[in-house]
Amino acid sequence: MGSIVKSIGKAIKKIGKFVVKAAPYILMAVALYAGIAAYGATAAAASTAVAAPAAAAAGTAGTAAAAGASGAAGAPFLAATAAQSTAYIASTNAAAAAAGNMFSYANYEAGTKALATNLTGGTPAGTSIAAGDMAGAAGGVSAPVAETASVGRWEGIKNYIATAVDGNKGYALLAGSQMLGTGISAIAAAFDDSEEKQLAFAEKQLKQQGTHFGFAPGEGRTPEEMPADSPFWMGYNQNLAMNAGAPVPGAFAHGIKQPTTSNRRTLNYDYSPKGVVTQSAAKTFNQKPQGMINLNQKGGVLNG
Amino acid sequence: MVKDGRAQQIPPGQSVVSPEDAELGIQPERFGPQMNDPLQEPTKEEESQVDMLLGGILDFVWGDGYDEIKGRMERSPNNLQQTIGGWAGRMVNVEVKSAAEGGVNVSRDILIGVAAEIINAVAEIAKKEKLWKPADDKEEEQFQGEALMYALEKYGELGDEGLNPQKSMEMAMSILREEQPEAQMMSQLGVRQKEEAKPYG
Repeated sequence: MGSIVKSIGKAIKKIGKFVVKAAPYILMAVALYAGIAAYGATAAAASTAVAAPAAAAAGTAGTAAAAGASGAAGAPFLAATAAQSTAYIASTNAAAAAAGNMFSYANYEAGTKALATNLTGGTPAGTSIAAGDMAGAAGGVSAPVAETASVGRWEGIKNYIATAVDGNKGYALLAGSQMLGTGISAIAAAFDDSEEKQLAFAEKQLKQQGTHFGFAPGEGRTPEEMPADSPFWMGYNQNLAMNAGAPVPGAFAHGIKQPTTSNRRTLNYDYSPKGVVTQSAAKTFNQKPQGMINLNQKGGVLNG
Repeated sequence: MVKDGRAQQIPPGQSVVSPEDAELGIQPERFGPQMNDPLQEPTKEEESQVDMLLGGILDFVWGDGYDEIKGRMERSPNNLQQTIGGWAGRMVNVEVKSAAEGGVNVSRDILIGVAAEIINAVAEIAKKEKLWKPADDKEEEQFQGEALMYALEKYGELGDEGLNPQKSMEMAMSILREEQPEAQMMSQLGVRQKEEAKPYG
């Protein structure tokens, strides 16, 4: 039993690391998934069988209705103010929504679409947002949320979050009006690895500096694989190979297939390439070394 | 002029933010003593519920169930995140229903955090047994995040009369509006804020 407890201790240690490093963003993303799926289930329940909550939502939400809410199915999950949203949520038919699988991926997809459609109010006075921008701000409709073999559901929620915050006009206006705050931005920032990729690329570039024409030593490149613009080719004979007295485009006298580029100048001289290592016979080192101490020699230099 | 013999209370300070940053909405960083603690801790009851749910499940995962879990993962190594997520959702659902039969009404707000810890433990087994080899932290996050979504779906599929969609919607709305500090959200989701626990022995 003691070993089991130790194992649990280790697991909890690991969880500690997990919590500090990643869990806040993972859990917040999944909580977002759960809430949007619940919204999708609620909207579906309202649009199919429940008419009463629609009126209740419009009535309770008060100014939310005035700002553009139109019943439960069309009422805004994100209304102009938090109080209006809370009032709307409180008015939904929880029992009907919870009757099916509230957290199904289908409900999540429905929720993203409903959210995009039903965003209302919250924009600064005097501004208007096109419907498409609103949809973009909600991350729905145009976002690739559908789960496919290549795009898992985790990618789906990441895309949703990225679409919601990724520099569209609707988001900028909504964020300014505190309808979409920095909470979702923080999750998006945690998911964004573009900076890491750039740093990794820069590091790779740095490591390649000083190597053979930009290729790492021992990378296994052959001349044919060298890019046409590589300085590697500067030392090679640029004369075209001849066939029946006529030059053959793309084929060179040295027999190596050099990639072609437009406007390459032709050099009219034979040139033995430099820097190409040719195999030669191994040299034998016959010279007897001097100055070495031979401890086995009795009358040697060193009589220790 | 200290009347009661104690030092005068120091007001919270603020760092200076340039006008350009202020236009971008950057808030000055607060330092100095806090006048009040904005974080809302989970209730004692919720804390004990997290321990109650996790204690039994983690005992099983790292004890009697270890070999069975390992064997099942070996037999169906494809799409492990769905498999693990499904297990976590089922285990939490069973525990919540068992608790209800015993007269304990478990707070549904804490279940995501509980499921995350179970997934973390099982994923650790998969790694330890070399059934899953994440390339980096990002892949690990993706794996566990996806597993957690599957756990949630499984929980909903199995059904729970005490489930209230309004709570989930309020949480999502809070995230979108950034109304609550992150740590408070974590508490509400049932995540224990302790970073480390010393094993016995």
